[in-house]
Amino acid sequence: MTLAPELQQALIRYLLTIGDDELVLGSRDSEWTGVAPMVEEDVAFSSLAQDEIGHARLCYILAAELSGGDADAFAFLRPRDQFYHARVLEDRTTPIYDPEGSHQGYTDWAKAVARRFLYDLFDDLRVASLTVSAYEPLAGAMHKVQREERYHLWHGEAWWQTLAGSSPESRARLERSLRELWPGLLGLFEEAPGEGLLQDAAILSTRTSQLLAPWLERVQSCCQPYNLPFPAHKAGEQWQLDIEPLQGGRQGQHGPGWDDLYAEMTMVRSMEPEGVW
Amino acid sequence: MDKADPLTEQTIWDTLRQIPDPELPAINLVDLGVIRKVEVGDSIRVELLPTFIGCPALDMMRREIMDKLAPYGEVEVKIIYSDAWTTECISEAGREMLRQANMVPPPRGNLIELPTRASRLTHRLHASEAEIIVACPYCGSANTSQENLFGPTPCRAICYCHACHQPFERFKTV
Repeated sequence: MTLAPELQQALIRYLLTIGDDELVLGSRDSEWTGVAPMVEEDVAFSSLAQDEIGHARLCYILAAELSGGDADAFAFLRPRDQFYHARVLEDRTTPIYDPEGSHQGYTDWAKAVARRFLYDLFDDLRVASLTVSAYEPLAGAMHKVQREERYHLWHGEAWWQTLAGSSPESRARLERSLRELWPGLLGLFEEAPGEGLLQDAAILSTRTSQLLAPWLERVQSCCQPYNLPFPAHKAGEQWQLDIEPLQGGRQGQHGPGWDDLYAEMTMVRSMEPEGVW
Repeated sequence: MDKADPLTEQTIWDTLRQIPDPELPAINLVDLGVIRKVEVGDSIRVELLPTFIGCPALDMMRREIMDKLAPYGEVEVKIIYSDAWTTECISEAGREMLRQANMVPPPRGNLIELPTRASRLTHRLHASEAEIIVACPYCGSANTSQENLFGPTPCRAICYCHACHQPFERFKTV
């Protein structure tokens, strides 16, 4: 399949957007390895993080096939403002460890779990829509991704039920996390430039912004039974957002969480660009 | 190569069958089903399917294949992402190898139906994959439970037998 240059550019940008979402969430979630509330979760959360980094790599490989570049360069050698993940994914949810005991920062397992589950509900819609892409390498890859992501949904749903339904404290933590997360989660639905072009070529069946309504339906069915806060209401058939989305991520605009993660992710590469292990 | 004894695809398959999975040495790459295709021409071309996309053993597998086939000529290993490895790709012999290593092979058939795009409810997954009852590979008891759907590698889950008090692993359906 030969693509017109502007279509190819749009597709590369779109692949980087998905890859960046996965890489950034995978990197942040991997910080729970060793400090999750129980050993089973050390293993589970690490596995989920590893899957996401694998999916990121796959997106970068697909982008590299189009650009003639290198997947690792996409992951580690891009400037800070050429990463296109949604901003909600870049924030740390674990404290910065201090051997002396004065750990810095705010930590909440509920926030990590809520972010992951609600992101996975979005990602699942995105992956499903891409399995019918006219760009066959992408459609084929997403079939594979879809098989793996089922385990993420299972994990997230089990934790959602646990947090929402087991104790006043767990519920309060989930509730507080949701209030903090809504603007950023709604920012997931910001489009990458060129999505219209990709949709016209049937490379995208659904633009990112069009995933919002089905996502809200799903999330509502998770929030309603527990009377949890929810960021939208229905006016007739249409959803109306009650909260302003935090956007800019898809344009490369990020917050302090990204400064910190970017520095860490690229540290080894910038010290030893040709290093292998 | 001796012209009287041309290199055949069968030779390559037989050689690949001698390569153990780096993380699950009880089974070899061919019976695990990760070798999608072998072509012998001017060079040897092997197509490799990842079990899980993020599996770190993938690069190790590729290196092992390159090393093992090097005596036969130039080798190219292509990792294929456009076609999915599933647990159905494990051969009957491979399933037996897993059993011998006290690892429960994945159930036959596509146990978890892929839900349709329109209405996917996550609890369907919960009802199927999370509640699989497997027999203990040590004592055969069905009085087992799943301790963690995530295990030491992406493709393994951890179970526990309440009859013989032995933890064991099973291969996840994917």
